[in-house]
Amino acid sequence: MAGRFRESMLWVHTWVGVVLGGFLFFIFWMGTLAVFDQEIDRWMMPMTRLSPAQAHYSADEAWRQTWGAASKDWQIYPPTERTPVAIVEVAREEIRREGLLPGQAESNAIKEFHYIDPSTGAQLPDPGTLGGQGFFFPLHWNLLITTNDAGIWIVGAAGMAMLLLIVSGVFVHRQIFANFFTLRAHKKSGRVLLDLHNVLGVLGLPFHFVITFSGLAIWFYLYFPAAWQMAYGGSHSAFYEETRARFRRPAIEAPGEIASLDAMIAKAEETWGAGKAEFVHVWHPADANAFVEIYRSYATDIPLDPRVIYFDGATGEILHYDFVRPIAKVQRFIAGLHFIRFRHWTLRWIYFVLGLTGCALIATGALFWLESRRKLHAGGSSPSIRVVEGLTIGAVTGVVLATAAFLIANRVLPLHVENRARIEVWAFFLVWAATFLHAWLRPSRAWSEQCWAIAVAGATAFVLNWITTGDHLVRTVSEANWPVAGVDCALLTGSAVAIWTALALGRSPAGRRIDREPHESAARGA
Amino acid sequence: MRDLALFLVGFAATYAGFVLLALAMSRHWRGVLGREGAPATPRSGAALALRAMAVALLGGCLWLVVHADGPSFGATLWVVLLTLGALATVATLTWRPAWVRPLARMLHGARTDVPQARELDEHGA
Amino acid sequence: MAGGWLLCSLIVSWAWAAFVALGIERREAVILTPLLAILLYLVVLTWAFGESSFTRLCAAMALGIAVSFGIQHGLASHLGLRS
Repeated sequence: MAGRFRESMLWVHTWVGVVLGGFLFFIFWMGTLAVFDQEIDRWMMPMTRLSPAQAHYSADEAWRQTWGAASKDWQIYPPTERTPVAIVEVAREEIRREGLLPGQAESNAIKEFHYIDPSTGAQLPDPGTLGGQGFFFPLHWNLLITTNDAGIWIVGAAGMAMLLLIVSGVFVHRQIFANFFTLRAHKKSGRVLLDLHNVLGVLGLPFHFVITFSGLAIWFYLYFPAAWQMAYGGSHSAFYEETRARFRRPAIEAPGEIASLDAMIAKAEETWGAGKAEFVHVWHPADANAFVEIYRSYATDIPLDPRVIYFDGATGEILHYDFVRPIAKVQRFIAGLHFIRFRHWTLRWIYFVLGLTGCALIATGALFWLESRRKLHAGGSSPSIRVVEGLTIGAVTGVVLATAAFLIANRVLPLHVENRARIEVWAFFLVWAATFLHAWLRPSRAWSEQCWAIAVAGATAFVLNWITTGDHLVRTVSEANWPVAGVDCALLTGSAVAIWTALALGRSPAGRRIDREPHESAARGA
Repeated sequence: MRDLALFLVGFAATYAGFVLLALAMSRHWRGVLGREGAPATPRSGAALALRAMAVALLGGCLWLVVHADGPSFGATLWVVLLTLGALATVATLTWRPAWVRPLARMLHGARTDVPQARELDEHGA
Repeated sequence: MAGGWLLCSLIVSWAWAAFVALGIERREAVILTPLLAILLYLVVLTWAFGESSFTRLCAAMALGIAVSFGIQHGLASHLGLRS
């Protein structure tokens, strides 16, 4: 009975892994990049590489400057340590808020974005890029598919599959504790891959499980909507307002004015006691029923609980200030563990490293499968292996290469090019598609060739940043410009790892196997 | 600076803790001391001491990070430090077992100081 | 897989009310139940893939869905009567 159970678990682990491994690698890779999304934004938006603002910053000034009183909706993100510019989002037409994602269902197409230097008040040019927060981050959680939240559902299904892989992996793995530290590096590559997969899986288990579960827990109301739909008669906004301690009131179509936003921010920060305002949203500007929503910064603690305070737009008096209840707070804590909006640089770096171990876990699993299949077919290549291998190459090295292409495109394209942001996205997807094609055309050489390509691309992105902005590593380090220095270091490290991998591949049994294939050897001889 | 120091101390504690735990296992004990003709396993008393020290180190690390960073940040940091320390241990045992050899030899040496007869007695008992 | 999700959804649809009856605030129960359902779904999936007898699997799933649907239906009409 136990043996049969373990066999079925092995079957699930194998086939879910083979079918979804590449996709899971993509989600883990994008999530890992999203850990440093705002730092990637500084790298990709050189005009925003300002030193964290010490100067007093005025929301009222931004309100006047961007004609807030003449807008239908006005939001500002004051400068923070990680994003040292003020970002204002203005809608000139009425925004229809529908769907389940508060504040995200609306189209960005009708919004204006203003980037303001907090120390001078000057407007910065449009960055012309989606950057880390606008591209890698959404790819991670909705794949840029927003219709009917389909992207979130797809990622959710993959997340559930990842949990199933973790659980079945635990059942499959014999002797978890006896092999806790075992990595037999001198053995055959299949053994090494399995040992690596086991070690990364077992030792990384707490992180991988929590990060996957918390990812699902963020969208609990989407994946299992029955409870709130019944309890609140299908009204998502009623559910949201009550569980998150929020407040809404409609416009009454009578003219009104907004009192000092700075005074409201000061009052909010005084009410919280600790923590600064991170987001200010003016609802129905120019309406007599206008109200102002102020979020507290997430920096100080793990739960994603902004302790929102609502002010009457005209008088600046507090309208509503409630707290979320304990279970909701637990949910916000789980979500906060996933989002890492808190300020803790050690944890941020460890998340990044452990995210990479997640990628390595998935990749070693896929490689082990390919390796053992090859053995089954005695060195020959069956068409099914070729397909899976091609897909795996494109999904692993391909997506890394596409990421580098995205960064290179960002540094090559001049700022004034029309549709600049869109061209960058095209560069990403075209290069990615090309890596699949390459993997299909040259299956035996694609791994090492793509590793070399990654090495070159990473170094190229580093050099291009130096040439186009003058921010080379010595300068960024000496000026304590850590976001740019960090991305540059990651690029160089990535290049070095890619070179090491390419060299190791040349020596590995997989490489020797290639030598056995006659036409390849002939090609080498020529 | 303080964050970095906390990380280094915490990482050192989990790393050392897991190295001790691994040494208490005969496979890694042999892997580290193998060529010196050492016994296949650490003496049961030594293994117990190794495990106790490891638990003290891992527990001490939890206390330290919770004390320094508060319960929520501290507990999170501890969990991820465990993974990092264990991964570092695996890498050390695989590629640089020599780093751990002095430590194992010390434990081994302490063992051989004990007169042979008494040891036999212990085993006989 | 879809069956397991349906089963968990149906359980969610009445379990939140059960939590409310046990004294948990409504605004808390509607969060607690789906969160637990994610873990329950994982257990159901693991069990379903580990179950060797397909007949037993289908029978258990059908029974679970039928019972849950019954409770949910009863609850809905009960709530309908009250409101």
